[in-house]
Amino acid sequence: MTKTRYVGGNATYITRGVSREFANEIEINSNGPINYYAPEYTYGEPEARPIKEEPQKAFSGWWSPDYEGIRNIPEQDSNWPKAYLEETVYFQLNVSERIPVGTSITFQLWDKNTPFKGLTIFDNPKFDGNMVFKTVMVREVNGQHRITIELYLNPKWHIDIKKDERGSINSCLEFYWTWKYHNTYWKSNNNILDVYRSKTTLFIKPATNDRSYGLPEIYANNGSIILYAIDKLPDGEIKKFSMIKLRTITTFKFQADINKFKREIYNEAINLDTNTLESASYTIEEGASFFKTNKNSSQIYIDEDLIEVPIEARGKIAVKNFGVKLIKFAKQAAKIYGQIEILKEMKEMIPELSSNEKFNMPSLSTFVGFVPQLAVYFFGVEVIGWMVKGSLKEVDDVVEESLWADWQNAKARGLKDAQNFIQRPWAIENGFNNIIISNKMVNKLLKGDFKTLDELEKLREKLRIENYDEYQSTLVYNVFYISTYNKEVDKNVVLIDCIFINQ
Amino acid sequence: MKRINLILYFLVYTLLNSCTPNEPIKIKQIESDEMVTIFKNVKNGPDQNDSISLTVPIEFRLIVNESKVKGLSLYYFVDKKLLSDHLFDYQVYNKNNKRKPIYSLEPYFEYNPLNIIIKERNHLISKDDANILLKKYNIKQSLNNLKIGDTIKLIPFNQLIKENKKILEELNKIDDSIFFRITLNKGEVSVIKQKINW
Repeated sequence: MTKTRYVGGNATYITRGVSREFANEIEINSNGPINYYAPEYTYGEPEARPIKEEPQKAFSGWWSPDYEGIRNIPEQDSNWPKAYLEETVYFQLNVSERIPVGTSITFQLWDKNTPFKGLTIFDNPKFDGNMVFKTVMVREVNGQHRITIELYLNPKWHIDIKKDERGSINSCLEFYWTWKYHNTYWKSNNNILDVYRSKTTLFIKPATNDRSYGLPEIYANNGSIILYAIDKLPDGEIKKFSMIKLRTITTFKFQADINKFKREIYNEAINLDTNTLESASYTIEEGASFFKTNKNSSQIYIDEDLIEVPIEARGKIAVKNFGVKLIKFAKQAAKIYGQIEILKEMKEMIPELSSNEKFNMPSLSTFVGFVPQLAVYFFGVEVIGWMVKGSLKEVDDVVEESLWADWQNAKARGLKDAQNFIQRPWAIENGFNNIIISNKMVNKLLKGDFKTLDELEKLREKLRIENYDEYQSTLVYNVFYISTYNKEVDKNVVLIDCIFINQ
Repeated sequence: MKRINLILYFLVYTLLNSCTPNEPIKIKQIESDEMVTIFKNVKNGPDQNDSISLTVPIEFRLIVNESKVKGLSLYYFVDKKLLSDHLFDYQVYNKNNKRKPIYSLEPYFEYNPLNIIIKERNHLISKDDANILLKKYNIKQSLNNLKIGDTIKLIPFNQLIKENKKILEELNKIDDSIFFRITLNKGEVSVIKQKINW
């Protein structure tokens, strides 16, 4: 509702008590001066707006970006609050006090499909083929009874946004809930949330296609492949975190060679006692097991210098009980990247690592962190799939494949060769490029903090301005990326292909 | 070999002023009136103490047909070598708002024409030559006190090349070019090579 009031002359407003106003933003315009007269001025944090009490109604709801429901969704389109895929939003529902705390109610999510307010028979209950149900309990917030539904806006729902595009101009989903209480059906179609496509255009291409190892390819500047793994004992206990440098001795000719190689190095077991891959024919240049946790135990730093970490008491026990130390790269690593809890456990398991000063001061470190799993999922396709575009002829496919193999070979020869490769016309046409960043930024990148390449570049510019000298000296990571057109979103996206650690 | 590749892959070359109205993009270099500056780059470290960077603005006018162009990025080659890190070698600005460098060009397609300025920091001149310029234009700042990242404003580029033939010759000695990589509808890509004319 919009209300405008025109007064021809002067307007005076008199209140006996306190006059209060709550709004998202307040604008005051005056052609002349603005004067305030008061004996005292106070400034402070905004108070939560009073929640409208509607005793006659059993439910009243709103969307919020926070669990508490204090803040408003920051963006709005012409009709409703506006959110994006990959964000988490909350639907807050104040309920009548007659509904006791602890009552559990099941909600179903709907996408409104017609502009007619009351008409809901055409509305869509399926998202990526599945219906979304949430069962939530009534809780108490400041003496009021409330339900809070947490909803992660699944990036896979972009398919449904695309479907929606056909029928209407605005390409968004219009979410509301339905539920049943005391044999009455309720709808929240007066509180719609418009959900748009994700803003993310920066993705990490995982080193392997099977989605089990979440990190991108990481190379030392001489072209050795750096692998990270977790040594997990048979009872599930994590004993150590390892880094291995591995040298490729094969020259790839075809995509099949590359796939085979990657399958072996990222999936096969590695015997750390003998420093060999169980079934592969590649030599391991260096192998070492070490890790360090910093005070914030959600992060593990892996140092570039090879250090042997004594795991005294526990180490002995472990060796006695389990003679063979096998590292399964893929699955365990992926679990670690996804589960912050395990990292916390790890710190408690091996307290000397976090209390020993020596290991708590990484001079140069690589963060092994959380790759934005869903971003990876979205583009976790066969490498050749996005590289060879459907429109190309068969002959071109062969050219592309051999050049793609050349790119893998160039990386294995080291940073210089990789840099030279991306200057080739084929590479430029296919959107190859590189950017040099600091360790601070690589941490953020691997954690998925950057939604776009622009965000990364803006931070880089900020750091540069803050301290040119210092920033220059921390530029160690050479990130190679490929800018490629994505049909689904009809725009260019950036895929991180690999990271060279250049020191 | 490189040359053959060039012919093979860059099928689309747009020459200056040879545009048809239906083209997705028109690119034209214009003689810039932006300031030339002296810049203390990290590149002129201790071993290059007798030289300093001359930041030269290169200006392009882009007319983008927004319905046909999905993406635009540029690659800067100097002497057949790609400037790999545009943070230190060059930066791109929108002439309409020069306060901050810009990275992806897509958000600026609404400016039509869009004038972009590329501030190139890869050219070095000797400190002696730099001092001659400072004296000639009566600029009182000294090169000796410059810290890394500091700049001294000289004069507009179009004036500088008219009045300093030697610098123009130096610039012309090096083969500079910019490749514009354009993503068209449905992901088709075309690459336009634009040689820099000083």
